[in-house]
Amino acid sequence: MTKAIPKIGSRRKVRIGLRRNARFSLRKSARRITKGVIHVQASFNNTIITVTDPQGRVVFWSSAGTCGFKSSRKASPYAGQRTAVDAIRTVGLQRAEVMVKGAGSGRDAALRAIAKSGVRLSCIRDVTPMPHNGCRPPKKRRL
Amino acid sequence: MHAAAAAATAGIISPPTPRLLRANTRATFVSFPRRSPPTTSLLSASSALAPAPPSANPKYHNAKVDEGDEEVDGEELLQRFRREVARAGVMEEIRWRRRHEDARDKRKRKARSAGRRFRRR
Repeated sequence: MTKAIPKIGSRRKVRIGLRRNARFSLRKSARRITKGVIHVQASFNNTIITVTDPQGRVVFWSSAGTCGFKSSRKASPYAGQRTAVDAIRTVGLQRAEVMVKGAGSGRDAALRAIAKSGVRLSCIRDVTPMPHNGCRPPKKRRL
Repeated sequence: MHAAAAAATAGIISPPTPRLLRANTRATFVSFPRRSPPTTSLLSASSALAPAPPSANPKYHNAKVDEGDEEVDGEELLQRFRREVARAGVMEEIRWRRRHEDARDKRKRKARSAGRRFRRR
């Protein structure tokens, strides 16, 4: 319990600084774990990869925007692949479970990059939220 | 084993397709609409059910592929996962749930899916 507090404090101090330096420092200070969960969130405009430990605490995250892509290039399969490679290489996972959410164009590219990266995959699950007839979706777009 | 699988298959086939997808989202067994279950998939289902999934909420998923006991390559596991997603119809449901559809669009979608299913038969 006392160990967790300095880690949170140090992370908070890192975030106070300049944005570029904070990003650089945060990347260097990412914990290296051997077993974790890779969350792939592929929306229609972006792809976000979050690596957590088995209890669900975030170790590192990466997105198409943080890899340098902007506006419509964030939704490309190449951006998804770069995001996945960036996240996995930074953390250095050896064994992982994959949870996929969403149906964007970066989904297949990110999954393929994760499968080829050499990480042992114990389970792949699709956890896209499906409402059981919830609220009304937005109307059809007229083009 | 076979009786339970047959009962599950019989129970799944009689409701309509959206109910089938509801059942598939909660249960962890593999469902085969309108076909008898292949033996290899039964073996994979039995191997998938035996080890407990380590994640926090193992019941919530639309499609799932487990490694089991054998050493499975990432590519092969990805191919199996993609097949499971295609079988469960996750992509089609995401696509039509994205925008609201009125009665005409619903009829059109059901007619198109029925035609595709009939063509595949």
